[in-house]
Amino acid sequence: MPIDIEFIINLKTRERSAGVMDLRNMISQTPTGKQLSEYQLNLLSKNNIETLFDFHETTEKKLHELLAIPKESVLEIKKELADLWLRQSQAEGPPAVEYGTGMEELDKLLDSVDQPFKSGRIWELCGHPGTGKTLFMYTLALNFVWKHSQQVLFIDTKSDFSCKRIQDLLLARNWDAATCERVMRAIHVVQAPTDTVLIDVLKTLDEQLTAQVDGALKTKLVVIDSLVPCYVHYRGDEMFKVRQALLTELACRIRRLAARGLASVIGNVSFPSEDKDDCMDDGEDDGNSDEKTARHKDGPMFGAYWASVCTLRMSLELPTGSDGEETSDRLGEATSSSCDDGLRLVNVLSNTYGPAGDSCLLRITEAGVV
Amino acid sequence: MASPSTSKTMNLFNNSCWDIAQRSTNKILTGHKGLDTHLGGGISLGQITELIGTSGTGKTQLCLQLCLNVQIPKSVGGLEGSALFIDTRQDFHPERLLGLAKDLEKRYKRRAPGFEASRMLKRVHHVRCPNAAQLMASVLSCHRHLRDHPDIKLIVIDSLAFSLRMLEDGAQRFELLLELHDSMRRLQRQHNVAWVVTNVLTHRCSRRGQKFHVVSALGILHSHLINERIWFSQSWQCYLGKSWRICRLINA
Repeated sequence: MPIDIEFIINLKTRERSAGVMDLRNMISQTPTGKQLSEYQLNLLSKNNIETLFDFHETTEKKLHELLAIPKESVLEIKKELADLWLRQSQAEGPPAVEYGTGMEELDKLLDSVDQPFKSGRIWELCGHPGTGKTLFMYTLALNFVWKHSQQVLFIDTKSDFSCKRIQDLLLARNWDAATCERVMRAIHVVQAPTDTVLIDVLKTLDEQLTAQVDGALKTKLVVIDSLVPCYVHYRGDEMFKVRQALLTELACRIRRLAARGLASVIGNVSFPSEDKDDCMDDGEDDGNSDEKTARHKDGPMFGAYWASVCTLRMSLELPTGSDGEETSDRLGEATSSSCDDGLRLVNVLSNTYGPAGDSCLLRITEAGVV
Repeated sequence: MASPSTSKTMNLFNNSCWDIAQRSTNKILTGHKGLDTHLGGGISLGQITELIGTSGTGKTQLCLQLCLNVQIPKSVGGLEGSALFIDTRQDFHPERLLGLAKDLEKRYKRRAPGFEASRMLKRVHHVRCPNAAQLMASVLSCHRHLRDHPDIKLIVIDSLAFSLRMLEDGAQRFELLLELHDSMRRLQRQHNVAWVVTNVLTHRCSRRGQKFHVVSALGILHSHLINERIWFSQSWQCYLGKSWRICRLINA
């Protein structure tokens, strides 16, 4: 019997997002299901088969006995329902659009791990302070609005957004003034200094999408830089559950937006797991022990639950080859003028659509990350 | 803590990057040409800027300079604010400040005649905090200072690391640091002030080899929470960037 696993999974998620579906309505739209009588349909709801998913889960034998129709008809109805649902969901949901990051090496890597930059994807970017997470996000936003005439919502939690940096990037790209203006107009900035504001922003965006507000409909990418300042004061054992609850709400909001075709990129910070002499070791870096035992030494913040929210987690790292060699002391002596070769390693930490663990090299330039 | 829900009135799309660029920015000049160009006109209000370096590299000097530069009159493009100096090391020298103020007075003599050194000194408020508990108390009471003196545009903590690193207990230190960050962020939401904190360097043994390398004190989370970090080297050069390995040299 051809029960498509993907169908069930999709069904489950849809059910959750779109609420209970009208099973009756659906059945009456299928050619075989049309022949069922009102009495038979009532029987279904009396037996707690109220949603499409319930119907799909119920065994053929039971349905056969319940509705007193041949097993073949039951199968037929199920198949038709599945087809109908697929057709409807495709008509409803926005088609998946591939955007591309505009960073050649990264696009190649992401294609190879089956996670191109598409609508509805939730990405997380982690890394140590100063590795270029913000620059990566700026570059992504710029590339995005430049290539597609759509808008980006940049949620700034650190009150850190710097037009100067955007302008510098634009300057280095030598675009004409009109393009620069268009690009800058398409990047909308919202300050979200606390977690409540952050949730409010996402909620508002969702409401405005429903209300068909022009700006919201054009927005296709949400960038959050970064999650940490909003949640950092929920610390210690007592606040752990509060934080978890708030993160769950955030995850729901983001997933809701993802279901409507918005892509999101979220910034996070990672900690080295071994540095015990740090003032960091009070359990803040919780969870994710399996990741740490693997070759990644760094664990992003927010633990195992948050790790499951994003469809792709990337970490931005300094390549290990040059580690600790030239750092000796420029503080005492004025020596080399450039300490940073601008190379960054992008590591795929986890990936819900394909293999993880691949990496590629990017270079930080005046014009952004390439 | 919880802010009232603004979802009904919130307009997400009236603040594009372009709009921000058109608006005039409130920055405090650092007086260091390279730094000013890289920072887009100086230190931004509403951000936490950290100055880091070994002792004697000019961190306190820049702090004092900023305390004066924030007072530059509006007629010559300044902010005409005042400054609060939170001193944890008890090495605040009014004479040093006076010297700098006189220099600044000379520089602005023609353009802003009323901008005098003696008046500048009056507008630098000084709080002494010999230990971490007092530092915390001062930061918590900042909202009162800001209410009484709404023209305070700059709060300096010199040095943030000093008092925190006197605490033996790592967990307590971390707790206090995050508490400080929380208060600083809260104050920033209510008042448009710039925070300038100073930090010191420490050495850490790298995991693989036995090599020591230089890192900033106070940990990674702190590094993530500050907005800008300026490194000072002994050769009077400034670098900009969150971590020492990747910061950029700023030419004066």
